[in-house]
Amino acid sequence: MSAIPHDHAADHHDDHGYHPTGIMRWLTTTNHKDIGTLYLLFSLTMFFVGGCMALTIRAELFQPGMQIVHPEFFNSLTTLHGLIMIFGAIMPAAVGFANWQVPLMIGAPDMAFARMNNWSFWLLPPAAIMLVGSFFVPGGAAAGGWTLYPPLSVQAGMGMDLTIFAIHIMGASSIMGSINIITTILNMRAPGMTMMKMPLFVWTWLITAYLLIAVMPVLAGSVTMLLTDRHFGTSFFNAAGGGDPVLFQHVFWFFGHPEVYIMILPSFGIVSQIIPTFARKPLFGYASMVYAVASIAILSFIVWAHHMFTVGMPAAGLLFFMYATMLIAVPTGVKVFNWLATMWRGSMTFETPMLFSVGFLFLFTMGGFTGLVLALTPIDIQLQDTYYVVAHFHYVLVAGSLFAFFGGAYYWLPKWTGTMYNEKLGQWHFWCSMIFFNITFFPMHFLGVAGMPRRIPDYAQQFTDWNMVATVGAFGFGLSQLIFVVALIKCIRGDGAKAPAKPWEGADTLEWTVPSPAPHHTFETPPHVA
Amino acid sequence: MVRNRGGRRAPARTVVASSTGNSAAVTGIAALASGAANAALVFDLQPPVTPIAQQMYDLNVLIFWICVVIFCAVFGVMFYSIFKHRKSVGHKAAQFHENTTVEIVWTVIPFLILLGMAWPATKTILAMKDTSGPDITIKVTGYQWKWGYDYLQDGFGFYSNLATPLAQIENREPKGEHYLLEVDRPMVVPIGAKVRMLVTAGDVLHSWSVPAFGVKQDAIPGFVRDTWFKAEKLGTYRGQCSELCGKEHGFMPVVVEVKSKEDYAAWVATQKAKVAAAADDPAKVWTEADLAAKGAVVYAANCAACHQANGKGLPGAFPALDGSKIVNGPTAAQIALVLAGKAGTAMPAWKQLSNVDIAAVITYTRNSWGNHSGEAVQPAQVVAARKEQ
Amino acid sequence: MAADLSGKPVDAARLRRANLRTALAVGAIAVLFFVGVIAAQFVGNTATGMSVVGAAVLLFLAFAIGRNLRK
Repeated sequence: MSAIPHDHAADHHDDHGYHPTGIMRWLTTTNHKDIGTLYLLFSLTMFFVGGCMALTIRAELFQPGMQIVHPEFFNSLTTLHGLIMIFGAIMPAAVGFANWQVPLMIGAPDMAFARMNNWSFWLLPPAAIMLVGSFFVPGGAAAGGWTLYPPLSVQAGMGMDLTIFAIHIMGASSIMGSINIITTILNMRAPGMTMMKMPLFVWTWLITAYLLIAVMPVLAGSVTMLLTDRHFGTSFFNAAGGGDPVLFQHVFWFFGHPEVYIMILPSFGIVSQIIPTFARKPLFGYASMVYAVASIAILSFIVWAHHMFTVGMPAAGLLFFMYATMLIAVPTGVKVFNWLATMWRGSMTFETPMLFSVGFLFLFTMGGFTGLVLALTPIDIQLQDTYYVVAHFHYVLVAGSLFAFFGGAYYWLPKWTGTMYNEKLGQWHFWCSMIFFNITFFPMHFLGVAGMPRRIPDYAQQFTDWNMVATVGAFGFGLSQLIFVVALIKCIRGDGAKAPAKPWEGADTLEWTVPSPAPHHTFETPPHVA
Repeated sequence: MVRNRGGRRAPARTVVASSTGNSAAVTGIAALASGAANAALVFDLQPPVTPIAQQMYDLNVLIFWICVVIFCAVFGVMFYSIFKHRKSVGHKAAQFHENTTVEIVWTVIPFLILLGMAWPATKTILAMKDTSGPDITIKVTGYQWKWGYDYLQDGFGFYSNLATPLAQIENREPKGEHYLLEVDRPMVVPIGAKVRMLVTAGDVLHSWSVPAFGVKQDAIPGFVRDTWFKAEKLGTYRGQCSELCGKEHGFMPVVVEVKSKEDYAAWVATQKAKVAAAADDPAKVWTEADLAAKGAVVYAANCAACHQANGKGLPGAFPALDGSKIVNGPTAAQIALVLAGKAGTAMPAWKQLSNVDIAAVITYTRNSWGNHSGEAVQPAQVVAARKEQ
Repeated sequence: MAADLSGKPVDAARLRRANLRTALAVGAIAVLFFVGVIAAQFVGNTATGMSVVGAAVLLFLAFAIGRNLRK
């Protein structure tokens, strides 16, 4: 492939030709592609760990009555399922995509701070071990829900301390990753790659990284206060000592709501790369997409209290947060319409990445509708802390973020491994995921409106049928993900057609100008973007 | 379309019932939209019995249909495009990528739709928050894991515990009609009265919720929040704690009985009479047998969730009382621990219980299972211990 | 956007300095938020503390994004 200036690049390789092999290669690597791979494999592992917890939860909820686990352990499962999926699966996967794709898409040779990149990954496994290991300490793992609301979380055993430290470490990792990504994007773009020429994935990650910089320290601050309340006699959240338990909720959701967008914006970016490729048509409304992402990010800072409509805010507070929340529907709508307009009058084909993107579009919009319903305070009073909320955020996080990540994985696997994924397996993976996802989560809307609270290990009899349906769906969904593992292993082992440099007819970003698999070093001499 | 927990109850489940559920899941949207629902399945908000809940219900229906219309429009376009604009049918890609007019249109129209939704919601919020001029004020306190109700104007109060027997939860007995939604002493209110609820908590966050009333208010330790409802239909209404509060979070239901004005007055009279009769003289000396009998009831309602009915606790999580050093040690230490709780553990303070209850439950623990102290702890000792704290 | 291969190597030292500047600026913001959110609690008045932090975030985002758009 002529995109790489062969002679020069080859010389350069020899300069730092020392490549440790085996485990040392991965421990010491500073290469953005290796680190991207590590992030993605780590997140896949945590996805299965968190998934097993979810399946245990669903198994217990198959019928009324306590069958499999104790209530305390059940609470630990819901707590750790949430924490692991958010901090262990979704966020690292997004960083993995950024590591692989951002330098390739902007024509940079590597990330700005290669060694810090290595550290920010290798902080994650110890944090994950602390989280999972907390199941085995006296008192068990944290059981106060992933939101860690005090005073319950102050009451808990040392599993909570391990969770707090794990969050600190993961937060530090995220902040380091974000600094790296922001610096890379701002300073290392190839000549001619102006901000408004950057692929949308890069844009969404730039904004996500800014969100992370702003809110991860807030989370770290709030759990630090929790820690000092637990062990050092402070009373930030203790009414008896002059504190306020609701204060934690304000601070937590000041982090928590932008966090929601941290998890979904990179997915927006991935989908915005995939849909134009398979529609063979440029992205509709590039500039308005960028502005929509930026407005969503800004609005995300002024809507946090919609997670707390039932704490008893004054009417003015309820109204403000309701209006602000509803406003988010406008830029989100713009994005959905732009994707539709991109598909409109295109020349579409439906390979697996496109299927996942269309699935994303369909189900994410459903999650958007339920989000709109929840935004309306009077209805939220009925639905707050019920299964409706569980359904809503799984529609936007599983069918939203996760589906987009699967789409992205299939889209770029040929570039990463040099082997085309097995299209048949991909299609099976998509359709099984799509069907079982809906069997699992659609009934939860009904359970929620009928009044079934979330985070309960046992339920009244009228909720039985839908819970059975959801449990069957959950096991189907979990098993369907094994198809992805098979497809992935086949790609890594080179079992499949050899991927050309540009396997997708409609793709036009820079990563498709380097050979497949992408060589260890790319763009050491920056390309010039017209 | 409406299925409520007060209404039809599904009998014991069979495989047949779950396969019905399966097919219904696939046609879920259609069923919801057409209003045709399987009798055994829940699909909708519980039937409202207060004006606020009615407004919430109507708002939900309105939003539902708005979403259905948008859904059809947006995905109608998408699926048309998916079927017509594909390469396999020979469609050639257009190259447009901008159109300021449509971009403005699809920014402004959603905004207008949102305004239309915000208007009724705002009216409901303002009505919801207006707790002025109540006929009755009841204070509800969430504890791990029960509710306490105090009728402030009439000067009595009581605790409301889950009434479902453990045997049903552990699948040793068939589950009753109101499994997990039944309590020993429900809250009672008169029909048509504006009831103001003062909501607080004694330990951790809870949330007092009755869907049929459109009420859900978090209970926050150290703070009192208020909400209100005016029930317009006689009956028994059920809800659950809606904020994770620990191990037994799923086992602290809310049950409210709405009675006629006369029945309510009669109920209040009996409650007041009970209070007068039960105003235990703390100086009265009880026999060990009387205390232990009363203590068994108190223990089952408050302690058995953690320390278990057999007093063995749960190893690693909750200590055993059977053979415990504290229970078999000096009485003063045990009274102090029960009153104050144990910091840093799941053992809360129990000072909200009456002196007689605390004396009784301690007597019970000291004379049950393998513990045979033979002594009775008198309410007077608890009174003395409270003074020392 | 097709790649043009005639680009010349960037000035490595200058790039490193620029990177460091950006990283320090961004890192300082993170530290500020961590300290700020705890300090806001010591001030006592929750609403004030949160509004100050919130306003800072908004200004910062508007500034950061606006500045980058010009490049």
